[in-house]
Amino acid sequence: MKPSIEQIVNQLALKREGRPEEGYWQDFLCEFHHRQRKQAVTGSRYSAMISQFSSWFGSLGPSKWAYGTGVAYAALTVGFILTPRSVERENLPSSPVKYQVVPAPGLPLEQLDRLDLSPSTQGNIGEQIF
Amino acid sequence: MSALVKSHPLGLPSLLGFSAGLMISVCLSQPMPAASQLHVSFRAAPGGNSAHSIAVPVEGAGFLVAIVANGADPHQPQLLLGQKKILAKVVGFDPISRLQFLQMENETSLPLVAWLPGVNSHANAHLIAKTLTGPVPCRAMGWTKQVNGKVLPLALLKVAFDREVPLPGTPLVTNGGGIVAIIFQASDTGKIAYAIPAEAVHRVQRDICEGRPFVRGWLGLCLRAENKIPQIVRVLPDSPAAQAGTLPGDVLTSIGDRKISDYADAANAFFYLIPDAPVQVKLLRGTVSLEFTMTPSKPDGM
Repeated sequence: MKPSIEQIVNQLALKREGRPEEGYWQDFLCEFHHRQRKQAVTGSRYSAMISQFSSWFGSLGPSKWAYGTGVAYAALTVGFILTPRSVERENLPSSPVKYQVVPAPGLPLEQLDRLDLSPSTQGNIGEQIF
Repeated sequence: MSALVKSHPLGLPSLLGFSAGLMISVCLSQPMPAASQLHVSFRAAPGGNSAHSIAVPVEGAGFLVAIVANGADPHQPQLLLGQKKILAKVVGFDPISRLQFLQMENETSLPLVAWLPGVNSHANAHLIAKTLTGPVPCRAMGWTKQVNGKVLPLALLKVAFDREVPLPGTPLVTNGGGIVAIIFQASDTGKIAYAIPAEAVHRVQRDICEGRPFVRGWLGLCLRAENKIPQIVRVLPDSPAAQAGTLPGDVLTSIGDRKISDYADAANAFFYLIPDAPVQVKLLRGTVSLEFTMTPSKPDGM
């Protein structure tokens, strides 16, 4: 449905009424420039480092490849050393081990009837009655 | 010589006096047998060896105690004071402990000696052996309950010397002079001696000096030497232990004042039981501790 002429006139009138206040554009420009400067200050450190490194690397000439190779080798070595090894696992038996406690054989103690400390003396073994 | 004597500024009497004093000093520095110490000489038994023992006075009626070494004949001992023979009679001999008690026939006064009633507090202490040649320091090293895999009928005190072990019968005394034990014999190593504690001497003396053989009290309990714990395996019917209520499987923990931790402890405690003298026996039945009063009797045939 096309708007009528009257509606269009009304819309144009509203648009004229919707203009920003006086000084709005000036404030907007001030804030825009402020943000731009702030972003330039904070973001320039990292990019400056990269640009400095790029210029230094580019000025090395043919030896830059040797430097690059050395740095890559060192990085690989450090990475190899720091990589955690996989834990070696023992091959556990699939079936449980049976441990059987075998009592130690009893000492063949003898009971002496008399104080006779000679090694050849024979004592009594087995049940002793007291 | 005469010229020397004449030329000496102090003259002949001074020189002779000096020589005599020197000889006396040399003689006193040599170990001399103590003239007051009695010792006994035993003849060899058939197939055995002769032996010597110190004779130590025991309390009461001029009795002496000596050790009859294995292989020696306990009959007709010869009591000596230095080299002098002393008339004495044999009161009795106990073949279990090898203790012999003698009594001097003349009313000779014996030196007073104090025997300690208990030995446990001195079982790991410095002692002095009163040998024929003078006091010798030694150290008690606890109890010996078995030798060469054989449990002894009574526990002996193990004593270490820095030199050769003195004669059997040598009293071991404390610094205060009380007798703790008498040497039974040297061990195979030579510098270790086994000694019979004073309480064992008292126990045997109690019977022997009253004119009867030494008899241990009998409870009717059966134990096995190879068991590590002192567990009763059998109780003889109508025995003092059965009448008190002891059961097979009970474990002995103490007899009288003697703590029992193994079979040898029990065998040692049974040595001291006196017939007809009640004794407290503590047992462990399962986890329950029990205490019985038992009156040991004499074994059958005694």
